[in-house]
Amino acid sequence: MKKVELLWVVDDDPTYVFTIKIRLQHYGYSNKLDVFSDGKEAFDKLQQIHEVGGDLPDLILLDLNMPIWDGWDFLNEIEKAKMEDLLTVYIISSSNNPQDLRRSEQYKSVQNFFVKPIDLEELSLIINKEFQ
Amino acid sequence: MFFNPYASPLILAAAFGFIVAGLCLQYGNAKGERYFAFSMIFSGLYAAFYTLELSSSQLSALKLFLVLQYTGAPFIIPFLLLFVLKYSGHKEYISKKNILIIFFIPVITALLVFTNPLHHQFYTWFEISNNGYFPILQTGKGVGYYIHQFYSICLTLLCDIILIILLFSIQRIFFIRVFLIVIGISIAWLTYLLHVLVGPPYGIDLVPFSFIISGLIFYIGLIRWKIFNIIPAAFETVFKNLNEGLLVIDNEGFVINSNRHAKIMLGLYSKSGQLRFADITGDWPGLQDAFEKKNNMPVIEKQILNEKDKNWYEVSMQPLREESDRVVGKVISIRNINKRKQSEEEMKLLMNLTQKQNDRLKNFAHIVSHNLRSHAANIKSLSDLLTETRPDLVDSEIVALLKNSSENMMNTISDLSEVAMLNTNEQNELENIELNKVVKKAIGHVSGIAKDARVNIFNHLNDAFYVLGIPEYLDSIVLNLLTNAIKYRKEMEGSMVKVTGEQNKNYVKLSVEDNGIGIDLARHGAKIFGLYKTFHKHPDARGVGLFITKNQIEAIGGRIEVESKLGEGTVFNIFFNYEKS
Repeated sequence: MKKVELLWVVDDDPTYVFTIKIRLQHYGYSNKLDVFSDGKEAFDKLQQIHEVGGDLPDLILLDLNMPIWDGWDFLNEIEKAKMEDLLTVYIISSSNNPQDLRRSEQYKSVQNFFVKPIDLEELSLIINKEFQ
Repeated sequence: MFFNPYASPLILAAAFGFIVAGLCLQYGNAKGERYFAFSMIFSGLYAAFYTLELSSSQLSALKLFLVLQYTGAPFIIPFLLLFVLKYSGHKEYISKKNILIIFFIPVITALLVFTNPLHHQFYTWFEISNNGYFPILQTGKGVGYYIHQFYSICLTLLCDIILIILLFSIQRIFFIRVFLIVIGISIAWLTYLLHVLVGPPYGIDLVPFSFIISGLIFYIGLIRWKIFNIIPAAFETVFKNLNEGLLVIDNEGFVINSNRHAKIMLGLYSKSGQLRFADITGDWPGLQDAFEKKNNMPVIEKQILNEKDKNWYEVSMQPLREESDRVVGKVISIRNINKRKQSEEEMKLLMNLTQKQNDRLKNFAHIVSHNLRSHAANIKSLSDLLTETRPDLVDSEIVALLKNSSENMMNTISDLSEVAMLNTNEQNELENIELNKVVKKAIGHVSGIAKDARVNIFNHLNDAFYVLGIPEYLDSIVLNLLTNAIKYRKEMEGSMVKVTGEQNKNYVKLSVEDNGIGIDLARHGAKIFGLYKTFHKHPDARGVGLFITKNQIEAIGGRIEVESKLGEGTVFNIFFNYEKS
């Protein structure tokens, strides 16, 4: 049984961040939740933690379309830094492009791909699988 | 009559004449072979009757066989002329009128000979003498005789002139063929000249004897060199009048032949003397390089922009081989392809424009898919959250309508982005997909709603069907048809959907049949696959599904047909391509 101690939301849309926070609270998630508004910000932090041997996030909810580094950049950098085995990523994006879905399947760290708005059923899928 | 051994070679001459004629007659008359055959037959007759003359000792017999020689002799050269005209590509001169003119004197000659006892204008007297070996007939020559001889010499000269002109204007590889014909014809003629200059040896007419050599030459020419297999003149005509420039260059780089087009293109009319290929390639960047390539290279093709007239040309070069396969030079052809280039450019521009518009459309699809969707998704999430966090608002009509609107907005955006994406995925490679897997998966998806709606789904599909398609499209196609069949059911017991399939040599056919409310095809048939066309007051009917389905089917090279009767049900037949090995 895993327990999510630290959850990251990497998304530039504050409204979405607001709704997902409430949803997670609704499901009783009360541990730490950090928000990053682009892929680079998140990756820099990740690298910083990795270097000092700190606690990596147990779960990352990743958007695709973001400024500076988008979701793909973030995933690529993770692979380059050989951190893909250490991370659990769910893509939650407004892209319904089948090509994006197929592309996401090539990343080892990506568990699943959901198209926004993520509904309660889909969220409970993640929660049942990743939260204890 | 007696056997005259000195006449026996003439039997050979006659035989050669008839054999060569027989060979020629098999060829048809495309290159004048029939004329040549007749000429040979007549020379055969001439030789045959001369044989008989030389084998006779009675004056009456000698006279008879002399006269009979004129069944052949006058016609040999006229037919030869017809042959030469046709062989050298001047068949336009072979008209009825000209044939009458050519044969006028020969016919008169024959008539004069046959009627000689009446007028003695051809032979004035006859006498038997002996040359020491056998008796020979000596004759006095009349006006008719000299006209006949003169005419024959003129026609022979004409034949030779035509052939010699041909000899010097044709390609080298035809030289031997034409040369053989010239020699064959000239031998008889030279013999006759010899005859006139030094007198007949032993009173013998040597011309029929010369037919032995002519016949032999023609025989060898036919068998070994296939003189009739190609018409040099025809090739010459093609060479001259071809709509592209042709240059023949020898191994030393000299231009040895060029046609009119090449002369104009390369400005050869203003140059004189022996031209080197290198001297004329100034305005043709790259032409010299192409020429420098190895001799045994096969065809080289190159597109060159001429620096002077700014036109595009296609230059191709191939080695010129002799019959022994030895490379003796190169043939370079130059074709103006400016028009083609221009239309290629226009096509490119058009393609660019289309590409740009397509990109813009893709971009639009992207905006719809991403940006609009994220806002709509937020509104939907917020309206959901509103009722989740404020239970007191659940009954509010405003909130209910808000939720409904945001839901509709999401649906519209989904549909539109799906429609927009239809055209953007066309580069996708088609995959080989097992149809039954797709159907089973789709049935799994709709099993919940089918159960709720009390619709039975029967899958009669054979496992063996593989079709070519894009997996997402196939899923979407089958799912949409099943959903439709359930959605438009009749409210009754025994509602069902039946999936069947069959395969023939052209396609795999998938049928989705229901016993639902049906569609009035007479009224709506034309619009059934249109965008935003709905025919039912069904709350979920958005008029997008069948449009997308049809487009997806067509995008993978298939087609869809519908059969329906109002109140009885609907069958959708989809025809898929499959991999034919």
